[in-house]
Amino acid sequence: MPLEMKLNNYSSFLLGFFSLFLIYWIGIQSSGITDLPINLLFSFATAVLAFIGGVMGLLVSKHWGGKKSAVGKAILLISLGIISWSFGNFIWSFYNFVLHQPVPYPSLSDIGYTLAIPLWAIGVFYLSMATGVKFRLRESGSNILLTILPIIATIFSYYFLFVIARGSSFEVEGGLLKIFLDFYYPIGDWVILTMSFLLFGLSLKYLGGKFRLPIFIILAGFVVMFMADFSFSYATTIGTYYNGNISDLLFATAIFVLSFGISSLDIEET
Amino acid sequence: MTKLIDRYEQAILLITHEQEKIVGKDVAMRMTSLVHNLSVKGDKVQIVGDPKVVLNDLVNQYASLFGKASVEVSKQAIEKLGQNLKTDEIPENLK
Repeated sequence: MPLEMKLNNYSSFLLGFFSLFLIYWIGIQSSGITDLPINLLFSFATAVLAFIGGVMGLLVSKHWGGKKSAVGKAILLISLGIISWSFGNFIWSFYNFVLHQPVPYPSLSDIGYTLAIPLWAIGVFYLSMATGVKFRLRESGSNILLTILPIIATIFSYYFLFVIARGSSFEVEGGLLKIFLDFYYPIGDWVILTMSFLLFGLSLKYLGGKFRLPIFIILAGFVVMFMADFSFSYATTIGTYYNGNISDLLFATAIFVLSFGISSLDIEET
Repeated sequence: MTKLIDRYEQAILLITHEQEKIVGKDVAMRMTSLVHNLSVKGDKVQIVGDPKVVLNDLVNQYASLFGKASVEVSKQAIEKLGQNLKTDEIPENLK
């Protein structure tokens, strides 16, 4: 099955933007700076990237009929998730720059981050309508995938988010909101990872055509987002997090990969 | 009994409407109108050439988007025709 994909105006722009991001991040790492405005600006720049990527996604969704079609709804919801995440990061930057809080958690920024998870999950569900999941589920062997893939996602999530990131312990502290979010984020990550694994596994046989690769890129974006959340959780647990560290690069990469996948689904430019 | 050409045109409309649910009306209409020897005017289609070839091309046109997943959507649509098209009147990619 061919895996070719043409760059369009949106994806080319995102590629250029992300290349500058990489240079910026390498610059931060080379300088060894961890607590200057240049670090805080990295998070702000990621919010800008997410906002632009999300808006591009809204335009792409419109080309597929928006909420009137399965693909349009999938792109719309995933893009709204990216925009919601961008608002989370803008608010995070507000805490950084104006309120001088380097790691505001929990805070109003969590509204944006928490909203993104259900939007992405429902988006993945609608995406499955275009990728042949329904037809794969009618075949023998699909039950094995339905069992094995969630188990793999669960083992992954347990190992990375609980064993490594939290040292196999869970401290119930910091108020109700923090306790809720401490559960919400890993469960949300597990749900998205499970859905991504299922969509990938159950689409492999049926999904082809020019949009096969962009859809797999979107799923890869969710896996990178999972790794970013893991990395952030781990770094905050052991106290090594600073704005512009590897976790933030992973977040920027996840947002880039998701936006790149979404923008590559543009039917107007293929 | 309707004419064979009418049944093919009905099949094309059914496929277009079923694909609409996945890709939206504009994309579906555009995909259908791209098929050679098929003219689309509003909600009506007219086959100019060999209807079996036109139907085959229509299925391939949609398959260019999502591959076999799109073909299955077309197959699902044509099931609604029942026995209106005989086996030898259906193109290979819809069997």
